[in-house]
Amino acid sequence: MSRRALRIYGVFFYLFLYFPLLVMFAFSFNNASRNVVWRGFTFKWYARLLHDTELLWALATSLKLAVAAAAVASFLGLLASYVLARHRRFRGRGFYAGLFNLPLMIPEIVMGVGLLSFFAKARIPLTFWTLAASHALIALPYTIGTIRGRLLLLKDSRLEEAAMDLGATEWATFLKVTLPLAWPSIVAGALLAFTVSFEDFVTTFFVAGVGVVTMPIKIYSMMKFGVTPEINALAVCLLIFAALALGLNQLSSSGRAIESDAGPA
Amino acid sequence: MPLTTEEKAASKASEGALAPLLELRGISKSFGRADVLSDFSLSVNPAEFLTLVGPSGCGKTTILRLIAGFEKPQAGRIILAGRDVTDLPPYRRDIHTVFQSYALFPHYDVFENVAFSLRIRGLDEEGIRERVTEVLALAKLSGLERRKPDQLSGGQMQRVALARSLAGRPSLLLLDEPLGALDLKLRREMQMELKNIQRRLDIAFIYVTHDQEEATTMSDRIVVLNRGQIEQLGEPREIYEKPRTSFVASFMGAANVLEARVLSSSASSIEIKIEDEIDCAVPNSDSAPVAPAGRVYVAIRPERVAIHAQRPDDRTPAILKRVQVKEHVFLGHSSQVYLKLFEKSPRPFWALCRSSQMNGALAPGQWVWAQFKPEDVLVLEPAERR
Ligand SMILES: Nc1ncnc2c1ncn2[C@@H]1O[C@H](COP(=O)(O)OP(=O)(O)O)[C@@H](O)[C@H]1O
Ligand SMILES: [Mg+2]
Repeated sequence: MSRRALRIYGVFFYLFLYFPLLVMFAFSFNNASRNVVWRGFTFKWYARLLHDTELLWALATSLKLAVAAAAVASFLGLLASYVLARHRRFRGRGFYAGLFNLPLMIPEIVMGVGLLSFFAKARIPLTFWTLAASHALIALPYTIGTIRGRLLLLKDSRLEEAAMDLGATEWATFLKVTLPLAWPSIVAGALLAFTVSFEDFVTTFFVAGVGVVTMPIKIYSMMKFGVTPEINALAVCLLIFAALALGLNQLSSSGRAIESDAGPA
Repeated sequence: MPLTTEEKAASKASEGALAPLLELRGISKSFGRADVLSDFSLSVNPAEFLTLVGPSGCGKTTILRLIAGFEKPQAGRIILAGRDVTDLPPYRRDIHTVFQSYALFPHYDVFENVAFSLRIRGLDEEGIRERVTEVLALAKLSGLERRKPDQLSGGQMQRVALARSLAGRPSLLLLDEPLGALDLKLRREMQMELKNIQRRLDIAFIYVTHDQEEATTMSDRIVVLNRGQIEQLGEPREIYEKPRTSFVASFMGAANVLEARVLSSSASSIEIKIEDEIDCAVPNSDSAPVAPAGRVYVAIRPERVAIHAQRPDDRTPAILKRVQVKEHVFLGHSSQVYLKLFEKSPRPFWALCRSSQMNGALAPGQWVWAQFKPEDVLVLEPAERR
């Protein structure tokens, strides 16, 4: 392909990806309550957004939920990764590693139905916390994915062995070497988990209790009456928020390099 | 937890002054189906510089990892200062390791790297500062305290790794090819320094290298390893002058390894015919295995072979033969001269001559006199072995 053709292809590719977002961005400033025609520039949808208490409540719920899910998923992810990375060979290691990735493979709708029937059968009332647990579950593969790679690298670097060689117990080694050096991957995993929870719709739709309304659920219910510019404005806010999170993630994952012990065997 | 001084003194007193610092007794270690060590025994004296040499994959690193406690043997015991440490984790052994990759903590600066073992031990701040400063001076690192490892050169990282493992004053230091990543000049320099530090601190070193010259210059004793077995153990001079096997002869220095037939052997000498061509009577030293009738390997060091343009007329008993030059390789201070000494031998035979004693280059095909003494023919193991 010629360079020129490649450039045109590239332009169309990005247009295809980002045109809907651009339209949304533009119409969030449209001074009309129906989307189709441009009636002049306004900030009023953003102002209205700030006064929509129901929406703000949903935002708060989603944020709390995402923080809780990210915290739980990172903690459990760290423990699981530690075992998977530390013990190169134990019986069924591959099986367990696969098991942790299962939530990625299972269609979310199956996951949602499964969780709902589990909570029902176990007679666990659906609350904020059951939803948080469900979100942690679907976010877990992401935290394990990021943390485990880093721990494997750390193991190859012999840094943990060096610490124990110098007198540090397993626990001291974990605190003084493993944790500080794995920290960037833990933060990256937590941010991923946060995003997964924040944007989750399907699982939440099934498992959210009566009073628990998250942002995606709220948007969905607003959409029942058509796409208003208010929703566009909200989407733009979320987009900016996501871009910030992405930037933060990039920063944290470019942590200090660990050299591996690639000496001759 | 490292031993306290009293414990060290006590264990020394109870064992007598000459008790070994470390003993490996009948160690067996395999990874899956691969046996790396079987029934391996070795003892290390206090404050000695012991070097393990051997080709890559012969088990040197595995031995160090067993001693440090990173690996558990399937059989055998490891005794450190009279105490059985086989089942103790690395942090309960009074041993520190200098890793081949240095394994410096990237999130700590030089000072904190070196202070690591002292902090773990709960030394007070002043004691730590004092000890770290002292060790950094010893390793010639003063002034680099606040550098992070990624701001150091290879040589400096090596020194930090050394300083870090010396700070805790272990009774035994393990070094796994510590100079492997350095260039030749820096290597030679560090060899001298390491040896000096070891003498000064009275710490036993177990040093791993695959460089025979390094082993020869630094060690009190050398262990030559081959496939997880000790081929020979002894002082550098002994290993060089009286190798017992063709493996040791060719691994530790250059050697022309040849086959010979034993004609007769007595308490004082062994009569052999080398490569079915040259008869000679070799003194029967105690360390050479008594050769059975049959074939043995012999070795002749290239530097023990003299080359003369004219027939020399000295009276000392020597093997003298007129031979053709195959090739002359100029190395600078010396030259390798390949000779057709034995018509039937498939192996090349060469002599190492000082350049100052050669009058110009030897052309291939030129006739010269090759000369060596019977006592320079080293009788090795029976030839059936391979
Ligand atoms: N963790 C391990 N798993 C499997 N095989 C190993 C392991 N460590 C070492 N080996 C094998 O043991 C043998 C000796 O290795 P090593 O002690 O590293 O040799 P050296 O240090 O002398 O080069 C090699 O064949 C190597 O492949
Ligand atoms: Mg090795």
